[in-house]
Amino acid sequence: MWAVAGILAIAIVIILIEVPRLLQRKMHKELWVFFTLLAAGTGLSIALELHWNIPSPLYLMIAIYKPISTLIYGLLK
Amino acid sequence: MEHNNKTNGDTQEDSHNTVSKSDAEEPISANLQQNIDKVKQALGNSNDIILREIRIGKIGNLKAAIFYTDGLTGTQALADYVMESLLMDMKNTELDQMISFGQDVLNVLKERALTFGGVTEVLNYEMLYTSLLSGDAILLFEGHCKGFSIGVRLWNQRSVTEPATETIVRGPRESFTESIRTNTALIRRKIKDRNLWLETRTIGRVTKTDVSIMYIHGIANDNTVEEVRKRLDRIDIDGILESGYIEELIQDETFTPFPTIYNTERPDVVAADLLEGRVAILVDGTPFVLTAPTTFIQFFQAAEDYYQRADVSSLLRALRFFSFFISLVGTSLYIAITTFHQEMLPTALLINLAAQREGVPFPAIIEALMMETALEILREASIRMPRAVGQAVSILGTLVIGTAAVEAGIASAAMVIVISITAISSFIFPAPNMSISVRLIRFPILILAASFGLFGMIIGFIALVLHLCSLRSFGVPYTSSLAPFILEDQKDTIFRLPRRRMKTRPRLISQKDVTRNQPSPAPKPRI
Amino acid sequence: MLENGKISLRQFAILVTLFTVGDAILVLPSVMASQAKEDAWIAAIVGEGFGLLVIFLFTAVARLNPGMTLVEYNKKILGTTLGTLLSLLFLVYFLTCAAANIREIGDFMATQSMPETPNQAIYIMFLFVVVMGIRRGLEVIARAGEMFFPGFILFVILFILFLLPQIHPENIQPVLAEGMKPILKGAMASSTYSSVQLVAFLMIIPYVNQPKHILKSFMSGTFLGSIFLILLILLTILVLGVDGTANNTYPSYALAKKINIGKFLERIEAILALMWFVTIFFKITIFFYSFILGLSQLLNLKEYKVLALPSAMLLMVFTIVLAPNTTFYHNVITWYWPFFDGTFNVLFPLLLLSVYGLRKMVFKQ
Repeated sequence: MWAVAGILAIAIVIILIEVPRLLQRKMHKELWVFFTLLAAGTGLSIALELHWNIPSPLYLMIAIYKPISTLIYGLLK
Repeated sequence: MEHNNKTNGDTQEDSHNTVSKSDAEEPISANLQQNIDKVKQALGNSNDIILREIRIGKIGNLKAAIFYTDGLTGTQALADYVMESLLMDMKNTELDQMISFGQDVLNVLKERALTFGGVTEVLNYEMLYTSLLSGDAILLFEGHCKGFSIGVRLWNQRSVTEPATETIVRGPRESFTESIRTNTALIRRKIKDRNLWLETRTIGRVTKTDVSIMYIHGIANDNTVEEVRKRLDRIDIDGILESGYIEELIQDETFTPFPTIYNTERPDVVAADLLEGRVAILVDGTPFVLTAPTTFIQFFQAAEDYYQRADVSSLLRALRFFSFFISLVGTSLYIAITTFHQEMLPTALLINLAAQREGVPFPAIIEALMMETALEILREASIRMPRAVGQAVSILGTLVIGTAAVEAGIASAAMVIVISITAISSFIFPAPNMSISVRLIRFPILILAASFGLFGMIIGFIALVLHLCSLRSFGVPYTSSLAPFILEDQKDTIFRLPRRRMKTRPRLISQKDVTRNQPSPAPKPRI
Repeated sequence: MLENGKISLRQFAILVTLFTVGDAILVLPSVMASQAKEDAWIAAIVGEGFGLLVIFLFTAVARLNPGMTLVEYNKKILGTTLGTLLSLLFLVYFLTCAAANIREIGDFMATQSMPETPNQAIYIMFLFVVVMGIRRGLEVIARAGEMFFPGFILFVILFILFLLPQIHPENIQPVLAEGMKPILKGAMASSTYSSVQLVAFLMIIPYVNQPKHILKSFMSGTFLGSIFLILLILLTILVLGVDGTANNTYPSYALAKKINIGKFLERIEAILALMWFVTIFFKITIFFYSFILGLSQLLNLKEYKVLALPSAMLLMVFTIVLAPNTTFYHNVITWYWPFFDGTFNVLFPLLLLSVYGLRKMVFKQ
């Protein structure tokens, strides 16, 4: 609970730091990207905090590279 | 004696004046009485403004009035050179005739009668007031729309003495004073080159302070000079009382503990900076002269380094860098090691320290903070202490903070030693404003050390380095010569190489005319 | 241009050196020793040598597209769709490497130096300075590298000097006992830990102020870093022996623990660890910088610095999520990561090079 609040607080602080400048200069595209990244980051952080199971991207890496790894290391045994 | 030091570039900042716009451009009326009344009224009949009405000319038909400010004007010079020349010396000469009956009276007076050096024409009321209140004597004539301003300024000022803040063992002992003309003269005494140029402007709507720039044309970077001019012209403030105001208003970044403009009381330091291509900014009313641009290294260079032998100076300078580190991280290192990394200390020392800390009720960080605060209080107080009490209070401070605290169990002896060494190290800086910065930065690093040990300290250190590297002073990177690393500038950073190897000026500062001298042969003849 | 800063050749080389040393200094000796046993040092030489070859590849690709970063010329060479796809892949690569490095230093701190501190706090502190560096721009990062470099060199020299008394030359023997195969395995590890991750610098090359001498600068930086790594691996084997190195997760730290000068300067490993924080800091910063700059260029933004903070949150999540525990992570590092690096540092640049060549040939007709 507190951790979630903390994460949101950090997100708000980040907004306060960066957004006024962007608004002032009317950088709309940057604002969109900013908020997308921020939402992703905050959302995932909160998900982590609530102990949702986020699988590691490394599983993907293993899946992709398993064949070649077995091949090459097999050769070098 | 003060010369009237107006230059042609000295335009009035009309739109910012507190006097109404019409006054600024309103020409002086031809009616003398009207002028007199207006001046008196404008100045609120202040009774240090003295008025003297006279008549000039063979038949005394030219009425004139002299205004001057008592205390700012040299009344002797006024009497000798103005009044006497107007009233007495012209008697029975042809000039008398010309004045009474001729045309072009003002020119006659200016070019042939007045025997004083600085005489300029006053065209409107604004010039009149500024001139009058700076100490000039104002001469107004019946029937003429112009007046004269005679630069008979003279007031009491501090004489040229030893610098209060930057004492050295070997080298000149002159220091700047509060009068800008004395200061420019002191600089000119050091640099007699015709390329040493001076520009003056008036800054401050109400104070109308004289602010001058000096630089060596051909050595100083034109862009820098232009930038200094631009920034000074952008200032809009009611009063400038000290160069610190100017410093704050023109510096590159306000959100940093590090000074990006150098200041000094010493003419030789300013002269050296000018020779390297920097621009000096003098402010009337303060002996502290600013120089820009500045680099981080400059704060480690003391004037004495260049007057003593190279090897001695190199060692001393290395010592200064070392002290910088000590004063920055000394206490933090102690706390970090004793709290998180005790294994690093030799066992004997560790046992000793542990024994000392036995009786102390506070955790190391609280102890350190308490002692540091006490030290800072003592430091600030000792500056303002009346001299009579000074000695006694210092002893008291040492006893209280040192011995008594240890014996009372509030602090451990090792902590007191560490803090004292750290404090003393911070005094080694030739420039006081850098030592203040270091004192400030110490505290966050202390907190980091207490929370995360050495790891916290290195993070703080990385942050500090990043911050330093991002600073610029008038376009020059603050960490110049360390980063970007300029090989030929290394001759004057950590070491000071012998004079005959110091052939070039700091590259990024002047960017012009970088060679100082031709390579000279070694003094000792080779056998 | 998004990035207005310009860095000098020297600054570039220094960044390359610090990057090459990066996290390898921490973990590499262990991996090497487990793969190549006593010949780990030979494997290191081979690996680093391969790395130098890869630098040629990088410089060739960069030279074809002067003034453009990797993301920019992906589009140019492969066309908009494929180019954007490849750029996205590269961005994922940069982010993953950044997360991996943070994770490594976090794990190191947690197990060795400060076990009571929660990992997240360490990540946050690191991210704080990394974001600070990125928000200030490339020039500042380069200058900071220059400022740390002399200290780094000093540390390296002192480190090696202090350990010389403890060398047991017999630990190297037998040499080449099992032939080339283990050496090749080790070489794969060594090259992909250090030089075969340098593709990130393809994002930085356009901002060097003297592009003609980039190759020399790139090579000298890599070379210097490689020399240090080779020496380090050699030293760990010499002092700790094969088993000591292979079984220890952080052999260089164990190595530092052994330093003993006159019974006065001992257990100073914490201070040596500080320098490693600095090198890893630069590695993380450069990876993260490449990510943010790349993303901004891909989306045609006007400014990249503003994305640093939100991306940092993302990076934080990524770091935590990267691996459930260190064993899993080490497993991936040893068996799969080299190919990951290989794909992005060797395969894709070769791809770019060949497509460029093909296009040129096709258009000539």
